[in-house]
Amino acid sequence: MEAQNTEPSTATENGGSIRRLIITLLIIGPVLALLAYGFTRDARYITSPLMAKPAVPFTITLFDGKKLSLDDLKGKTVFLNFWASWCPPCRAEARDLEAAWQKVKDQNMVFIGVALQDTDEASREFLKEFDVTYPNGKDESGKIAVEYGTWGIPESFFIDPQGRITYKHVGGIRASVVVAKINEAAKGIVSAQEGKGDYQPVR
Amino acid sequence: MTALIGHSAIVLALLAAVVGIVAPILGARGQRERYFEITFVAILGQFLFVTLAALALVYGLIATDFSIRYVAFNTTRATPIYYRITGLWGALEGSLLLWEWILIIFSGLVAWIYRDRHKELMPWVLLVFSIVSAFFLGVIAFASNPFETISPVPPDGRGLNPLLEDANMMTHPPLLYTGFVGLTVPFAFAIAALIVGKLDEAWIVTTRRWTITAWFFLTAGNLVGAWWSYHVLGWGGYWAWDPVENAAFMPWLPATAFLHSIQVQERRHMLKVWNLSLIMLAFSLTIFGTFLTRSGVLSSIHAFSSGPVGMIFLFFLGFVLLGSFGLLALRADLLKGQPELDSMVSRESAFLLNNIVLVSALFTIFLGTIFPLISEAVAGVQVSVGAPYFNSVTVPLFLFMVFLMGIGPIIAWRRASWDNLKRNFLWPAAASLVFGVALFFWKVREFWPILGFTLLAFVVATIIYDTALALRARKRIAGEGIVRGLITLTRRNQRRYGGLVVHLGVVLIILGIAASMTYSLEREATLDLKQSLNIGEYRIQFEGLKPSRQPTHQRIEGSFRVFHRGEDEGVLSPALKFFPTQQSPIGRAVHQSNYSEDIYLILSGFSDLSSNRATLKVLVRPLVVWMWIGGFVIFFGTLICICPMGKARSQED
Amino acid sequence: MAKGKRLLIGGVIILAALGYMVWGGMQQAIVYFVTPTELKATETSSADKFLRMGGMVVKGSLKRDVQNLTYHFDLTDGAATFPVFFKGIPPDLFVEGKGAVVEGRIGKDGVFQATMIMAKHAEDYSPHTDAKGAAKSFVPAKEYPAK
Repeated sequence: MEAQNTEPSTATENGGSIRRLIITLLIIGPVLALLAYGFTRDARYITSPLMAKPAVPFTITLFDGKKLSLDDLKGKTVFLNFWASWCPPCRAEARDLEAAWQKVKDQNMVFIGVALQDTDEASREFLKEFDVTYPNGKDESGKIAVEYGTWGIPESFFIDPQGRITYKHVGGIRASVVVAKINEAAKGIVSAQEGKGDYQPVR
Repeated sequence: MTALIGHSAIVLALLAAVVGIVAPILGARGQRERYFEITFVAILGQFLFVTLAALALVYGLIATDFSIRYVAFNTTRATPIYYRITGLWGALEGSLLLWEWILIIFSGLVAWIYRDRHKELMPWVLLVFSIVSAFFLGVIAFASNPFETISPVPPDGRGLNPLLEDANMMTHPPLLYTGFVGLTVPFAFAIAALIVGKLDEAWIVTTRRWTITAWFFLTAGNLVGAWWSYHVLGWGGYWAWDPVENAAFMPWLPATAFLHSIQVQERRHMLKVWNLSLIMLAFSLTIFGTFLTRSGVLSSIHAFSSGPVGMIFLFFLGFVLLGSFGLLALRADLLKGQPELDSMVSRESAFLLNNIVLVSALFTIFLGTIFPLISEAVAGVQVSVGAPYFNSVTVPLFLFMVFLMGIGPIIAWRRASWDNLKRNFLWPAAASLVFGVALFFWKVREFWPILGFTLLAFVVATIIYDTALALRARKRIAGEGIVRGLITLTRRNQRRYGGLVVHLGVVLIILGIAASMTYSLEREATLDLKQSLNIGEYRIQFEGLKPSRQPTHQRIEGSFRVFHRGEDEGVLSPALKFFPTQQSPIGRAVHQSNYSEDIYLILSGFSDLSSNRATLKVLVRPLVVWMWIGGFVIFFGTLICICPMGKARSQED
Repeated sequence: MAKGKRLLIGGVIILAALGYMVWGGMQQAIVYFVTPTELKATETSSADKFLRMGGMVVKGSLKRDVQNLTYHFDLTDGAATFPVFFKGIPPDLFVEGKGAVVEGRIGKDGVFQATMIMAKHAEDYSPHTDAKGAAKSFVPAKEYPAK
């Protein structure tokens, strides 16, 4: 930069300005581009090693007091959704999930909602507010979330009748995607990639 | 209702900001006076509306109006009023509002103080303020609205992050924001000077005190951040070179460089382009910092929510960089013809070197911070850059800076003669060398520490020696004693002596950092009841676990009796706090300081309560306390620089 | 022109010195993120690098000595496993069958010498968190739901 102070400009006045302008742009442009590139990835994101692997078994106490175990659901296609009442994207997708459930509930499919880092009352209120009818329970110790490597909620997993995870979606999901993916899961089709929507990092 | 008032006030303020942008541009074509009045009123309007909005949010927080989402997420009914107010900057939306509020207070002050001066510059200065303000208001109004409502209204809120419930966390963000915003003042004047083409020293002289003040707040903000990290985060350190910390620190470097190099411009009319570049860089880095913190582009241990705000800040950063440096490129023709350096041995060149060192430090820190991004973009390899990089790169640079701190304030302008050098530096250099040799024979044997301590001693010696010479002269001329002489000297040249005091503060801080970096002891062990662990001159004895129930959380305290050289120094009780809404415990470290070292205890874990066994981590960190003392010294020095003290007034403005 | 030349030379010297410092600093401070599979494949070339490896602690592999605070265990990503040694205090959530991230180097014996363990759990499930040693579990823990 000091060089500019003393270096006599050899170009004409006008040409000098434009040259300097171009140099400025050439320096600043790449820096900005690099920073913008940062948005194409998420520094905290790591690809789940769980895809196409057997889903880790767990047992959860539902809000109605019953127990539900993943092992008992072998032979059924399972949609597993992690949520919390304080998470805006979870609220956004709640109605979609219920709508999807209404579409597929007569087939050999099960939806399970798992509330994370939430109080009982808030969770119950959430379920009431969105008229959720599929089984929901609370991950008391956070263990299920650990097993599934949940790092942002909502986060959804699709498990085929053999108990393999076929698809994982981080963030809010639409009813149409849920229906499409659960049908794929029923056929045992493993997606090549995880899906991503609006999410809330879990802390 | 509160939400409605707040949000309307923001929108109205945004309108005022737009007026503040348009009016000076129209005024440039004629009728400048009238349009300036409009601009002035626009600033005033922004000030009133933003203040109203900020007060509305504070009111919402105090009254726990949970219909406002921000309030619901940052307070609970149980939150003490003190922390309800600090909830204003407990999360992103409120922080932006606080930033905007400080910004508009500064703009208002500038507009008011200089309303009758700098007729040519002022409309453009206020234009820059309005642009920055409009940006923030736009973000607050549309992208990150603190007045967003939720329905149904929750019965109770979620509460502030427990770590933020700390008195110092209360001061850290406002201090930093004030520092950031303070840099806007010289930046605005610089841009105005470029637009108008009046590129003499007027803008620098006018903004000098603002710059010094901003620099102080930046320094204080970073120091308090370090203090908080040390006292509350409980990991035993104060600086981890985390991206978020770097983001707050980086503007400090060009700001410091600017503070020095403007003296060269004032005195010798050199470095005009350089100074403009520095202040633009410093201001851009404040925006970059927010971008970095809020975009989630780089991972950081500091949990911040991401969202669209990061992207918006990136656009604004691009706008600021291209706009200001583009303008500089266009105007560079007007900035030629300064005299060159007369000699490499002169105050100018010392200041220039100081600038090069600071900018080099900035460059290396910036590179290390964004390197993970570069690596992934270019090579597709995921990496992170650890603290050792930053330490190994910045330590030599900062030590060189310390050396220049000894030289710069004392050496002659233009060309220092051999005589001048001998007169000023012979004794301080000799004294510090003796000090260094003494340290070596005492016990400091490593290269970097001994060099560091010797250089620090050199700075102190030059300051004392120079002041002593001046005092002797006072005694000869006016027969004044030491105290009287000091007062006269300071009044005659506030900036010089204030600056020297600030340098002493910096010396103390570097002393604390250097000593604690190199001579800390650390041990961890699992202890049964009455078992003890030895570290340095200390013995720590475990005296049992104590559970307790606090209003907001459960707490497990471990009692440890500390013996120093066999003497009982009392019990320290580090704790683990279990908050119901959080899965892992939050540690509360404790420490005991004296002027020579801190002993710092962290409870890392414990068995079940009945068996009374605890895992403890102990650190002994020498001289840490001097960092905080150094902070106060800097505060004192800054006051000397900027407070009007009779005579000195005449040199300002 | 002599002036310009001097500036140029000065600039080149400064840049060279900086470049050297940056390069030297990076050598000792860059942490590479790997999985056990990747590490198995590049074991020899990774020998002197500082690494961060994420995986699952293999059930039954954990041998601990509470008095000396030493831990031996295997880390797996499903495809490959890698032995790890650690001395210190692991985070609370570090248990068999759970995720963990370790940081360190490969020792001469082919065992990963971890200087730090981070448990992967819901609260900070991320191998990218920064190195603050024991402070890891004390990190500001709450995320504010933003828009």
